[in-house]
Amino acid sequence: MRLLMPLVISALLLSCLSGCGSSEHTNGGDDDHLEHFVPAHKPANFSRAVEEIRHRAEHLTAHAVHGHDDEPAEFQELLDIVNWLPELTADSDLNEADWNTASTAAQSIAEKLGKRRTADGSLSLQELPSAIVTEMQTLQALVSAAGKPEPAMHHGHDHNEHDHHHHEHEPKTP
Amino acid sequence: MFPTLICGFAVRFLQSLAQAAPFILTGFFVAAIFRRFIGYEKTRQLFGGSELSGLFKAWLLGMLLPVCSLGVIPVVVELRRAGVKGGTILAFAMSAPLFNPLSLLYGLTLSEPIAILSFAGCSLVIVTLVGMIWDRIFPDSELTSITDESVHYGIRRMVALGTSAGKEATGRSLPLIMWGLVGVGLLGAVIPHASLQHHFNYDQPLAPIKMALLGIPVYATPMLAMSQMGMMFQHANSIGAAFVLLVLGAGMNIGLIVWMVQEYGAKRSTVWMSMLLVVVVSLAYAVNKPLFPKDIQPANHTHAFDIYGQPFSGESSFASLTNQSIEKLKRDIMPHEWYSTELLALLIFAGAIVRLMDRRGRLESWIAQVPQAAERGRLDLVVPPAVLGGVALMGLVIFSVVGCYAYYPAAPDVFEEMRIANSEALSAGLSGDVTHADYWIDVYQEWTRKLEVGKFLRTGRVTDFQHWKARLVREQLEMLKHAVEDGEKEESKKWVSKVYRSHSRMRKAFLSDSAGPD
Repeated sequence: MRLLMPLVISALLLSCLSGCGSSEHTNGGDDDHLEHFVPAHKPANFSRAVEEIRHRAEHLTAHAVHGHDDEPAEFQELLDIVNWLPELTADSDLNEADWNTASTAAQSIAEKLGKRRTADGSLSLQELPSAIVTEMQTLQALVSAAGKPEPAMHHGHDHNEHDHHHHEHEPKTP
Repeated sequence: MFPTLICGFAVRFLQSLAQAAPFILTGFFVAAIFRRFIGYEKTRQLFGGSELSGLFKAWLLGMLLPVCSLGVIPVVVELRRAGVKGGTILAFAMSAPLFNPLSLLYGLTLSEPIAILSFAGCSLVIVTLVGMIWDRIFPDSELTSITDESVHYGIRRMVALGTSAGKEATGRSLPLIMWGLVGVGLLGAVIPHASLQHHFNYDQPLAPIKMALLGIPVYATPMLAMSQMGMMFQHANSIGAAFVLLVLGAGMNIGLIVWMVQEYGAKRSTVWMSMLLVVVVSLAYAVNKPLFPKDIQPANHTHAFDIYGQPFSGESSFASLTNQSIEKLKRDIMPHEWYSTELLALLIFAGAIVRLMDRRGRLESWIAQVPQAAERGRLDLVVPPAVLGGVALMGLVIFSVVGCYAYYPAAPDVFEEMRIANSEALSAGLSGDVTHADYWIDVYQEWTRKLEVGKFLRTGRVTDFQHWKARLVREQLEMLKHAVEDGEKEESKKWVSKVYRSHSRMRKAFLSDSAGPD
């Protein structure tokens, strides 16, 4: 009798879990695909990222006078690219001192961009390139030291066409 | 159907037994130290004091002792015999398996260190809060009228330690440990292969609750739980679910619940479990957003729980599955786990022999005898058993701290070890051998984490630059793994080249300021 409760609990848990697993597994819906999502606007390498930041900052300022619907999304993408700089810089031949310089420049740009967005979400995009010109010069100077640019890898990793579930991924006990 | 169930059960049962063996052995000897060296009175003092201080000491001692949720069973059985308060024992039972020095250091490489420190802080909140409320609702839960069984000096002490550990290994704790293993074995039999991959994504609001259901029968060693949390952070899965996995997956198992029901009855156990679940799940939802890794693109799956489902996909004959099971166990069980399992078997065998040969209790009577006073030299001191017990427990803690240096070697040594994993993983990536690639990529990724921890242990810091280099290798290996599994040969080649370059950069980043050879 004493063992009744844990037995009942474990049986309930097992039936619940196996039920969940089976039903979802056979749905064949989108959720079954195993994906490592990489955003389309993520640059392939450091030099491409520097180029993108320059281009996007100029684009946003050029259209700031007229304003357009995509502004907030484009601004966010610019901010994303700036925030990816430490990773993209690490994926290059830059040494630690140069990496630190690039990261500091990226942080400074991110802070300046952050100030251009008010609490209510409105953006102030005038003269964006000139506001970050020093940092961009720093980053541009590092491009040649970064070595051969990393090739672009595909974006998104969709397992739809393959039977991923036939393979086991088990964490090894370290 | 049946071959899959039977082999699934057997593989998961034996895998968990092997993983738990070192901790179970430790647990039996820690229990024997409490019983024979420290003694019940001193044990009560150790876990005593005010309500809060008792719970805090239980949490702290639990964090320091290297046991898992199965290895803690003999210890809690002994604490109960010693007359320690119920809430304090349950707090110890919950916190001891969560962390040890090895796993805590490993955890610091996951996302931001604040995440793992927050998890440790939350575990203190859980055991303190639940323990305190439980003790208030059910006061006087401790046993009384206990006869102390600590022994006198001399050879009797050593014999007592061995016989106590052996007898416990064939006594009350053994069936409880078996219950714990049966729980995880049943999961391996019943849960379909790789069916848990989508249940714990960051956008699944019910992920922490689902994890609470899965976490109780699950068994994970502290390091395995950390490694699974590492995968969840790497895939940016639900952080709340990762927290529940740590607390319940590493801290609970069916054996502990059976023990609780046997000792405190169904009502009290239900109250404890209910309070525990409410607090754990609430905290999980509280930490879910604040600790979410901001610089990781979430994946829509996790591989952390593949280990709990059926190990093989599809139907196959019993003979074929048996062969696959044997191969899998040979590959997955580490040498130190084999040795520990053999030692555990030896301890159980010795305990059974003692029980058989000493039915009249003559050995116990001899152990209990007070030795005749003999003339001694001035330096021939009799060390009180409690001091010896304290030294033994402290020694265990110190040993586990020192063990960190062996487990996390210096950077040059790590790169020597990593060389094998690097060449095996990359060649498997090129040849498209899925099983080989999966295995060696996991090993490779573990070494990158060990690299960071080893560096931190020896220099007190890992720079952001070094952290990024190691993290990039891990992430690219993950992509390589997927490409191999999908049979994308060109894609795999590209990732192999990328990992090769990133490995060289990581090596340079870690060895450029190291005294070792490059």
